[in-house]
Amino acid sequence: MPLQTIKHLIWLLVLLPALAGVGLAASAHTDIGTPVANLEMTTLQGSKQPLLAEKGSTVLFFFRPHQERSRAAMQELGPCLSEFAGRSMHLVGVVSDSEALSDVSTLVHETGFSATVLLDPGDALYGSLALAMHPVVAVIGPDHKLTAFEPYRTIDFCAVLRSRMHLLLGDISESQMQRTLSPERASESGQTQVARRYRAMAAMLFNSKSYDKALASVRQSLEHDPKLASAQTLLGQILAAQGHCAEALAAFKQALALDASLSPASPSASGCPATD
Amino acid sequence: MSEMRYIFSVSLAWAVAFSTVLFAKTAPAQTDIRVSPTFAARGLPPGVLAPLTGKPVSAHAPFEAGDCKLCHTNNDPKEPGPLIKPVTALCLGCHEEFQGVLKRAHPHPPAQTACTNCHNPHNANYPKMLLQETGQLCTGCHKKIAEVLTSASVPHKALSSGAKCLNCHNPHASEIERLLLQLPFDLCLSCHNVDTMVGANGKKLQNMKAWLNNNPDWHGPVKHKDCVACHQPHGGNQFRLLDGNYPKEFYAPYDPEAYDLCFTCHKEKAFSTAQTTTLTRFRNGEKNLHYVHLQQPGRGRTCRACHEVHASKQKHHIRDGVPYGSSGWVLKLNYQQTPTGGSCQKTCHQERSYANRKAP
Repeated sequence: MPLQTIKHLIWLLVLLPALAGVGLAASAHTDIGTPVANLEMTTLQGSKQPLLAEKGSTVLFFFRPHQERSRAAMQELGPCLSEFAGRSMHLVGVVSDSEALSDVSTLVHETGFSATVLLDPGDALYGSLALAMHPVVAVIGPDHKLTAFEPYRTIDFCAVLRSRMHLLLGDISESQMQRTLSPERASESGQTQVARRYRAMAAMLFNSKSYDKALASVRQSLEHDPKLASAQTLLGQILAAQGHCAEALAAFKQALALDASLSPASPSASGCPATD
Repeated sequence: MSEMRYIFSVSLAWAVAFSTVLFAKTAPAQTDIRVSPTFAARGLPPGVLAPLTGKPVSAHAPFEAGDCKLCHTNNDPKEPGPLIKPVTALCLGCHEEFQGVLKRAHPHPPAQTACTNCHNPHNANYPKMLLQETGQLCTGCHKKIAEVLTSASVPHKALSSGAKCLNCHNPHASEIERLLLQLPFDLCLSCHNVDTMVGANGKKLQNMKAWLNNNPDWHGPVKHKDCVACHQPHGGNQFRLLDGNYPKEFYAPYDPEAYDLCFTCHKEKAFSTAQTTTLTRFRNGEKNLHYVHLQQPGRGRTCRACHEVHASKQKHHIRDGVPYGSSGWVLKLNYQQTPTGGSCQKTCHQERSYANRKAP
């Protein structure tokens, strides 16, 4: 029996205990917590290397040549994970040993994928993790157990992977992770923002002493958002400049009522006599 | 706006446009698309306002009020002079929410460069003071999308109705890649949540939200909000906007090309290798049962025969049953998961079970 075949058999024997626990997981990977054997594997260049890092976590990236999603992921991974340099996160590419090495080398070269690539004998590692698709990232913890699984996704693959890594490192909370997985709608409209635009325009008109126009603009601002304290303050300033001191005072009081943190605007500073 | 001001603004715009033509003959061509993509797309140098051809439908409040000096050095509409600040800084002075918006992870370069790439700061024939109708404006630069729109035999109605491109994209910036308003799944379900929607061929489309609510075992791309892994959001040439070949039939001879949608992610070898212990869990010992079902000359079952592509009540996206024959009779699959594998009974065949692991 050839040496290579014996090695494959030994490999499978080591993995059988892990395989026993695989089947009931409904998702396309084995259960989180499944042990992963740290076997010596062959690199793309032909040397030998242990699968798992000596210290810290190992980020296994399973890919295949002639697949656009693998290519896209490989182009993203390097820059994406660069912020984890020096943080005990070791990226390793894993490809089936049944793939043509020249195709793998070409893909690695073209995508600038700089991590070590290991050859998976007979897809044994892929099978042991019960994977069913490419490309996918499996994170193996320092305890040599599967700790996370992230498949490639067309949108926000890097953002999700980064957050997953930060979660594993304890940098972010589960709720922050959820915000990456379900980000808020990227909108920018709203009555408050329209109100702020009119206030800004009123401020510019006020500065150019166009008081009537400034007054009209700030009133439009307050129509859109009556609780915009800065617009109330500006209203007071405009009214004071126009000599409507009683109304100005009322506007200043209203502004303070809306936002007590505002520095009290003095009507006297605006040209009106100060009152209690 | 007074009639005189309107006549003046139109005349001024045409005068600027005419001088632009003269200028364009002597100036080098605009090559950096990030500088001014929309102007460049129209063969105009940066900063030239599109001439108005009809009564404007939207106008900028300072322009409408005749307050030229809020943006220009002079308050004279005949000679407003240069801007008092660079254009984007000027806009953000009032539109202050965009200071935060443009700091999002994925800003739109034309929005970062100059608001006037897409907006006319005075008035326009389109809402939001846009230089062109939304679809035209976007495809003026996004030529590939324009090609898809014109060549797609299966269009996506989202691009031609409502806010068009802006139904799904934020033209300024987003925390989500491709300037998406939300992740694909959330965007798709915001429309595909009714029983009344029909596809381009007139056939009723599934109420996807209801289907997913009632079927807890979700396919990976659904689970990971990646609808665009299988569907082309801008239009395509496959039914249901699929991004690759996928057999419509129940029986089809095995041909990897016919399944290239599935093989976008799944490994083809898992279906064409007769014996394996690693490529699939649907095996009896080493006998690959995917291979058995698919690799029957002339009568290979397609993926849909056993799997629901979006979600199912049973594990492994296995469907309850399949419509069989022309009468619409549903053939139950009767799949059972077992501690060592699974079984199907009283279905296409009598009970058959498989084991792919030892009992725990």
